[in-house]
Amino acid sequence: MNERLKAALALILLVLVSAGILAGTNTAVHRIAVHLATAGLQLEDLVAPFSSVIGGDQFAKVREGDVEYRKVFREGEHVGYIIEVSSEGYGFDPIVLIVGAGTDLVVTGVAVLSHDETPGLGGRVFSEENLAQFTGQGGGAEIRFDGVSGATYSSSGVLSGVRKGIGTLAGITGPRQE
Amino acid sequence: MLSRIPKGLFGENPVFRLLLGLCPVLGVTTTAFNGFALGAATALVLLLSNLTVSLVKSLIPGAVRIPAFLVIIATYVSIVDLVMKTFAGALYQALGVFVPLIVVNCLILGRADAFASREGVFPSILDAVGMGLGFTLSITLVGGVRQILSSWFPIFGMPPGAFLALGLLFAAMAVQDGRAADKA
Repeated sequence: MNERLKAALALILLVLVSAGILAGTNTAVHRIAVHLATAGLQLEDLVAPFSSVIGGDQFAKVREGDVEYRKVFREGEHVGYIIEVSSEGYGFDPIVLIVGAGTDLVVTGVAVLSHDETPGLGGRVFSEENLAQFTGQGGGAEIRFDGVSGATYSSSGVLSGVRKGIGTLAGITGPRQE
Repeated sequence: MLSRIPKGLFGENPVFRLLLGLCPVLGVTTTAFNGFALGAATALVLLLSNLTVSLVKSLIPGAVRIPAFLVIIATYVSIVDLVMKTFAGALYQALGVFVPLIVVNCLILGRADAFASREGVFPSILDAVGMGLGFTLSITLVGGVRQILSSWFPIFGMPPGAFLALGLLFAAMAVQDGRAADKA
C-alpha cells in the first residue's frame, strides 16, 4: 500500500473516531442536561417565564387539534394567550420562544426558553431591549423586528417565531380577532 | 523531567517567553476571572491533547501529522465547548467565541508538534501541566492588571487596553531581564 494512501486512510480513521466520540458526548451531555432540568423544575420555574410575557394568575393549557397553547386569566377574566414556538435560527437546535398576547392578539411580551445561537453574536438578539420590540405589535398589523447586524439568521429566526406564534393564535381565535 | 513544570511557569512561560497563545490573552482578559477561566479551559485541552498525541504518535504517518493533531485538538475543544455551554452557561456567554477559538491557540498545536509527538507519555503530561499552569497564571495576571488599572483608566477595559497592558508587562520583564543580565 503506498504511503499516501496509508496517510489518507489513517487520517480518515482518526476523523471517524473523533466524530463518534463527539456524537457520543453530545448525546450524553444533552441527556444529563435534560435530566437536571426536569429534576429541578418546580411549578414556580414554569410559571416564571409566563409571568414575564403576560400578567396573569392562571395559565390554563388548551389543546385544539395539534396546537397546544395556554389561555391566560387574571382574576377570573380571560386576558390573553401564551404560545410556545420553535423556529430555525443559526445554530443546530431551534430557537424556542414563548409569546404572550392579549385577546386582541397584540403581543404583550416575548421570552426565550432555549436557543443554540452564537453567544455574543446571535445571542445578542435575545436581550431584553431587543425582545421588547415585539411588545405592542401584532393585532392584525405586520410584525417587524429591527434585527442585530451580524446576526441575520438569529434575528430572522426570532421574528419568524413571533409571527408564527401570533399567526397560529389568530388561526385559532378566528374572525373574532379582526 | 520534573523541570518541565518550573520551565513552563517561568523560563519557558508560553505568554511572556515563548509568546504563544496571545490572542485569548488580549481578548478575554477584561477581568481576572474570565482570563483564569479561559486559561483553565486551554490548560485542560493542552493536557488532553499532549497525552493523546504522545500515546498515538507512532500510529500517525508523518505526512498527516499536523492535520491529525488538529483533529485531536478540535475534538477536545468541542467536548469542552459542549460541556461548558450546558453546565456553565453564564461563563460560556462571557467568554463567547474564545472557547471554540482554543483550537487555534498555537500553544497547543505548538506543544503537540514540538514536544508530545517526540517524547514519552509522562514527560508530555508534565510539559502540558507546566505550560498550562504558566499560561493560566499569565493570562490571569494580565486580566488582573487590566481589571485593576481599568478602575482608574477605563481604556484598560477596552481592546486597545489589552495591548497596552501586555506591552507594559513585557516592558517590565525586559527591565527585569536587563537587571539580571547586568548582575551575571
